[in-house]
Amino acid sequence: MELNTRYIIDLTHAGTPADVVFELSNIIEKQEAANKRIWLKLGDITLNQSQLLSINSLINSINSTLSLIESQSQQTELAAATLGISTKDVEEELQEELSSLEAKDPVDAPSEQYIPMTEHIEEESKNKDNEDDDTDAVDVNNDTVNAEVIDNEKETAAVSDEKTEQTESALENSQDKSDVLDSSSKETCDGVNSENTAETTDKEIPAHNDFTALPAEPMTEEKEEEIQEQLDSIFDSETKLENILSDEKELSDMKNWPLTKEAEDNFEIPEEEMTDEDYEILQMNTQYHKQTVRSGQVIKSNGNVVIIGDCHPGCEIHAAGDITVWGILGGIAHAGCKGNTKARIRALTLNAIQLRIADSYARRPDHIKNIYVEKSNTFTPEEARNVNGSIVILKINDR
Amino acid sequence: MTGRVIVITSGKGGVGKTTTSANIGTALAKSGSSVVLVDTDIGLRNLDLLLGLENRIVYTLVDVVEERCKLKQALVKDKKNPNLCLLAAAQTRDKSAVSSEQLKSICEQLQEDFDFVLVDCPAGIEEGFKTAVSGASEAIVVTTPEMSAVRDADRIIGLLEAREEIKSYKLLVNRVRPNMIQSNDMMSVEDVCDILSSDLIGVIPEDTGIITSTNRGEPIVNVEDSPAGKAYINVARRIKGEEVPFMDINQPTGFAAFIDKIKKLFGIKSKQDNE
Repeated sequence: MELNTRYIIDLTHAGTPADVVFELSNIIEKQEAANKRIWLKLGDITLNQSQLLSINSLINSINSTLSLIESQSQQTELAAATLGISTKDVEEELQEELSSLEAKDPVDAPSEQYIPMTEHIEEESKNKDNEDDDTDAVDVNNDTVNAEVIDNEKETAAVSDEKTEQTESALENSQDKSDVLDSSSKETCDGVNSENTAETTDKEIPAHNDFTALPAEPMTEEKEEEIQEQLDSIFDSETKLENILSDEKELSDMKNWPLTKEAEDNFEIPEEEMTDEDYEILQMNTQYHKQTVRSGQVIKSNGNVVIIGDCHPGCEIHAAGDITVWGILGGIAHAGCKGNTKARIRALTLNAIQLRIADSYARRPDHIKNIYVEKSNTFTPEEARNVNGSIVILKINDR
Repeated sequence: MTGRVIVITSGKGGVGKTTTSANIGTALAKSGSSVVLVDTDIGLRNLDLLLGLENRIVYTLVDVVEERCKLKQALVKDKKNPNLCLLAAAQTRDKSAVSSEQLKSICEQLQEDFDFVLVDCPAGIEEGFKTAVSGASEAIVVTTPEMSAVRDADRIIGLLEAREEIKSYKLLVNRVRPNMIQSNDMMSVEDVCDILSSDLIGVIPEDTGIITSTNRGEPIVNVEDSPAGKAYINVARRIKGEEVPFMDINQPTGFAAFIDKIKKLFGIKSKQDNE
């Protein structure tokens, strides 16, 4: 893999950001730096995050990755750290790399891979406890460690093969299901993430595809310390990231991304524990109706009801358990009609004249005059539940 | 207190029974009387929609009859007028759910608490009609100036006259279009009364505002400056015994009015005066 070759660009003489970009574009034109890991040596000029991002995308355009920046400006270092670019001294790093390469097979072993870290910080912190178990994953580059941790475990195929077989480790804890992402789901996650942070994804995807793990190497104390230091520096920068990023939504999306599944699970827990009534509903029989329920029609059930179709105003649905409408619910729905207060009503579009759950009832607000919802392809799925005798409607999107 | 039980019927569908019930009921309630509207169109209820009360209905007429609730529990109070109540029909059943005797006893109970019990009758002359009429002592026959509606009204009047309970009935001519009457395309109100040989209680002009008010769930008597609303208020006053002159709906408007004035100046009689 060409990407394993590093390419050091010395721009210490550049006085302004414009100079840096100018020099860089000159180098890029020569195609010398294509498919390489770029180490950038900067002087005391200050580059902010967006400038770094544009430099980064410039470098990405020739299939290279910007993996290291040496700078005398603290602000530049900080900005680089938030982007997941390591900020070490080029000389030191060079020596370290050489020494570590000597320790291994000098010919076949590729040098370290770069994987940006920002996106994984939260997961990393979650899995931090597992880190000690994954000693075999720890390698020359600390970033590799992080990547290993994220995927819990990746068994390596022959290094020369340049492909990695990724197998999920057996689940140590079944509750950790959501943390274990196989490679495919990981990539879809990345895809989602790319909407938010297009720049970071650009370098992330090749990093995943080209990932090769190295033979195991016992972890020395020095390295452990070093890893810890680097992790700490990134955590610090993560906290600063909040101040730097102006778009709050983007930040929250980024933050939520690795947690989506877990957050979803957690959502219901603070409200109430599973009770006998909940289990009762789970054990009920479920009736399926694949029809449009029209005015005057009644569906009654001693269990749960699922309707694949619309429920027009004037119809009534009574169920001892849950009512789920895969369509527009416009009539009267009575869930838990035998008194089960944990029953729920959910529909793709909830426009019911009345919602009843157990002994409580709610009516549609008077200001809604149009009882027939315009049919469209966009829905706002909602769920109604009975919370202490009053009916609460939750947008399923919000969860 | 013994209230009056009035059934609003027509025979033909779509002539405006439910609209008339909702508007007369609202107009009576606005004038200070206590009114209950009883929808007997079980399975095809609409009165709740016209009043904008469909989201408040929990118990219906059928629930009262089948003793799942008390009568007072099933009465839905109007949003604006506390004098007005609705006893809704069930949407999920049919006419056979309530018998004549049952409705009669319900009307008798309601009579004690309300000045007016207005029964909205379903279309047709079968079971539903017989049930609706059973509790009433007065009737308002709604018709439109069309041959089909007039013939159906005639049939209904015959059935009402055969019933001893119905002491009196009045005719309400709905959806009248003065322009069409003038151009001889529509029967005049007088023609309708002549054919049916019965007394008139009101003439309601065609009003597009009815459609919007129905869709909004707001009776047109609550809408200011609507011709139909004014006509309904007049009907309500006549029901209460006031002498109210009929609105001159034949009065031409606009350019026709101007021509008529000129004609009068020259001593020429206008078309409707000849009739």
